[in-house]
Amino acid sequence: MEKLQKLPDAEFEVMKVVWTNEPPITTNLIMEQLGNTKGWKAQTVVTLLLRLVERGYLSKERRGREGLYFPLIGRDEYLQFETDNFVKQYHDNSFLALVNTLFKDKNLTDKDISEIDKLLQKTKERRD
Amino acid sequence: MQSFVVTLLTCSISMSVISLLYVAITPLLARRYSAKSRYYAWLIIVVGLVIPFRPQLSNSVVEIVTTETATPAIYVGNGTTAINPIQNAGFTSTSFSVSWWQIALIIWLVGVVVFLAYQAVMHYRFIKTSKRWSEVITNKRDLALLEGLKSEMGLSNQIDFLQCDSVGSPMLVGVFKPRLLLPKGDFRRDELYFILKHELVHYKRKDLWYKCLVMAATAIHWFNPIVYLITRAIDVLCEMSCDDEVIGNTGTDMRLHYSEAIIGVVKYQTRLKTAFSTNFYGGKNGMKKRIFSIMDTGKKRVGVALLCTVLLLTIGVGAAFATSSHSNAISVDTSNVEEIKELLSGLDEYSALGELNVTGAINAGKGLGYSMNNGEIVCLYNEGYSWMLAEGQEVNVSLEIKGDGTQSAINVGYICVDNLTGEYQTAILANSLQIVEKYSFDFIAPLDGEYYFFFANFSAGKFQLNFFEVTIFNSPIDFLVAEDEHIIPVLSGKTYVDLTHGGSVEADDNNISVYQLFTNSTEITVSIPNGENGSGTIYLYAIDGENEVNNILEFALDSKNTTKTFTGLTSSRNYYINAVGFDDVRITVSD
Repeated sequence: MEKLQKLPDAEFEVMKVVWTNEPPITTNLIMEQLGNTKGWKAQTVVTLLLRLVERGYLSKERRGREGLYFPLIGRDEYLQFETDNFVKQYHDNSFLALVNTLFKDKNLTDKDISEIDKLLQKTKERRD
Repeated sequence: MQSFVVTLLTCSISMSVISLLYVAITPLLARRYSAKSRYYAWLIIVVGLVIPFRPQLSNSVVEIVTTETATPAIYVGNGTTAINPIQNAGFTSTSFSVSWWQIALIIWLVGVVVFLAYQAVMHYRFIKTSKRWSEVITNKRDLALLEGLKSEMGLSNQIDFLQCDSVGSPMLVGVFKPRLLLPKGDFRRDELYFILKHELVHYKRKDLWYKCLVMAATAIHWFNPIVYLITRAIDVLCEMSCDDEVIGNTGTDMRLHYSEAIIGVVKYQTRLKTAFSTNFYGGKNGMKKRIFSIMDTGKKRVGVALLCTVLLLTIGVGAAFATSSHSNAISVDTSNVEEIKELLSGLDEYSALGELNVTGAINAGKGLGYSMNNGEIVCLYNEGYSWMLAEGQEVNVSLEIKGDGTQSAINVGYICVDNLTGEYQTAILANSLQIVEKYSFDFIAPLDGEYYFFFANFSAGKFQLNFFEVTIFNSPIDFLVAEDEHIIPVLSGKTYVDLTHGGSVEADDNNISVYQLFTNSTEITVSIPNGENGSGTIYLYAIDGENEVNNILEFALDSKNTTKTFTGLTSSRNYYINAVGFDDVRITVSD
C-alpha cells in the first residue's frame, strides 16, 4: 500500500463518520450525518469519497445503483500516523513547546515503568 | 548597531556563566531551597537574557582593555585613485570591507526569524492536529470535578475541557484561551482529580507565559548552546514545583496517591503506544527523580536569599561586562605615560606649567565620552599605536568635545618623531577650544615619522571627548623617479598605506601599485595568500635624503613561490614596495 498522506479537513470529517458507523458506508449516510449540517451537495460527498478511495483510505463496491464504501485504514491506524508525524516531534522532545503537559509522554519503556512501579511499592511497604 | 551586537554577545556570555554556575550548584540548592524558588530564580535569568541592556556603572568593575586585533583589509585601487583609501586611519578595521558586526547582525536576525518560524509552524501543526481529534467532554462527573477544583483554587475564567485522542499526556494549551486536553482513557476519579489539579496549578501560575518568555530568550540567543540547557532545566523545575503545589503540605498518603496517579496515566499511555519506545534521554531518571521529589516531605525554604543573589548577579555581572565593553571604545593605557611626559616636556607652551599631569594614553575610536578633568593631558592612539605619516601628507583631524561652558583652554596638537633621527617636533592645532561640539583641522605632515595627538585641558571644568578621527590624504611619493630600468619608470599618484603592523593590499595591475611601509623590524615578508592566482614582481626599496633610491631588492612571486622575506633591513625607517605585473592579487605584508 502507498504511504499514508495527511488528510485535508473535509476528507478527515468524512473519515470520522466512516469510522463511527458500521460498514458498508453509503453516500446517503454521509449526507445525513455530515453533509447536511455542512451544507454540502451530494456530489461533493461523492467526490470526497472517491478521493478517499484514490488515496487508499476506502474501497468501493457497486451494488445496483448504489456505491458501498469500506474503510481500509482504521481510526487508530490513522491516529497513530498523525500523532507520530505531527505531534510527537513537537512536544515530546521540545522543552520549548507552549504546552504544559502532565509528563513528557512516550519517553518511557515498559521496563522503565515497572522499575518505577517497584520503587513506589517499596515506599509503600516501608511505610506500612 | 555595533554596540548592540557587543551588548548582545556580552549578555549571552555573562548570563551563560551565571547559568552554568547556577546549574553547577543546583544539587546543593535542591537540598535547601524549594523547587518553586529555584524555578523563579531562573525567571530572573531568563528576563536577563531577554533584556540584554544593563544599567551602566560610571566606573567599571572589571576593566578589560582590548584592542582590535583584526587585520585591516585595505583594498587599494589603481594609481588613479584621487583620495587615499585610508580615510579613517583611526578605524582601519571598520573602514572598507563589510565589518564583522554587520555580518553578525544579519546572521543573528536570520537565526531569530528561522527559529521563531519553525516554532510557530510546529505549534500550529500541533494545535491543528489536536483540534481534529478533540471532543468536548460532556461527562457530568468530570465536569463537576473540574468546576469543584476551579472554585477551590479561586479560578473563575472559562477553561475549555476536551478529550483529545492525539495527545499522549494530559495538557494545558493556549496562552490566551486555555484548553485542557485529556488523552483517551478511563481515568479513575482520584486520578482525574490529580491530573486536573496539576494542570490548573500550571494555569494559575501562568506557566505558559513563563514559557513564552523562555521561548523569546531562546530565540534571541539561539546561537548559544547553553540556552537550550537552561530551557531544559526550567522545564524540569516547572513540573517539580507544580507537583509541590499540587500536594502542598499533605502527608505521605496523598503523595503516594499523586505519584500513583502520574504513573497510572503514563502506564496507560504506554500500553496504547505499542510499537513506539524510543528511550529518550532522561526519561526514566527524570521520572524517578520526580517521584522522589514528590515523596520528599522535608521542609524546604523559600529562597529569598537565592532570588536576591541571582538578581544581583544578573544585574551586576551584566553591568560590569557592559561597562567594560563600553570602556573598550576609548581606553586609558597608562603604560606610555612616561614617554608622553617626556615628549610633551619639550613643548614650550607647556614647560611653563611645571610638572605635567599626564594621565595616560587613550585609544582613539568611536569615543563614547572620555571624561577629561582639568589639568589633564591625554595622548590619543590609533588602536594602541601612533600614526605613521610621511612628509607632505595632508592630514585632517576631526573631533567632537562636549563641555559645560566653563571651558576656555582646551588644547589639541600633535608630536611627531622623526623616523631617521629620532628628533621630534610639536605643534598645537588649536589653543582654546570652547564648547562648540565639532572641530576639524588640517595640517601637512612636516616629516616622515610617528605622530601622536594629544589633548590638554587647562580650563576650570571637565569635558567629554566624544569623538576623534584622523584622516590621511594624498600620497607623498609621486616625486620618485627611477634610476634603474628594472625599477618602475615613474611613480606618480600612488597610494600610501601604513602597513606598519601588517595588513594586506590589493595589487590590481597592469599598472603598478606602490605602498609605503614602515617597519620596526629588520625583516619584511611579502606573500600571496593561498588560493590567489597571479604572478608578478615585488620591489622593495628605501629612500634616503633627496629622493635617492637605494637598497633595491626584488623578487618574483607566483603561484609556486608565494612568499618572500626581505631581510637585513634597517629598522625604523620607511620602505616602499612596488608590486608590478600582478593581476588583481591580494598581497599580505608583515614585519
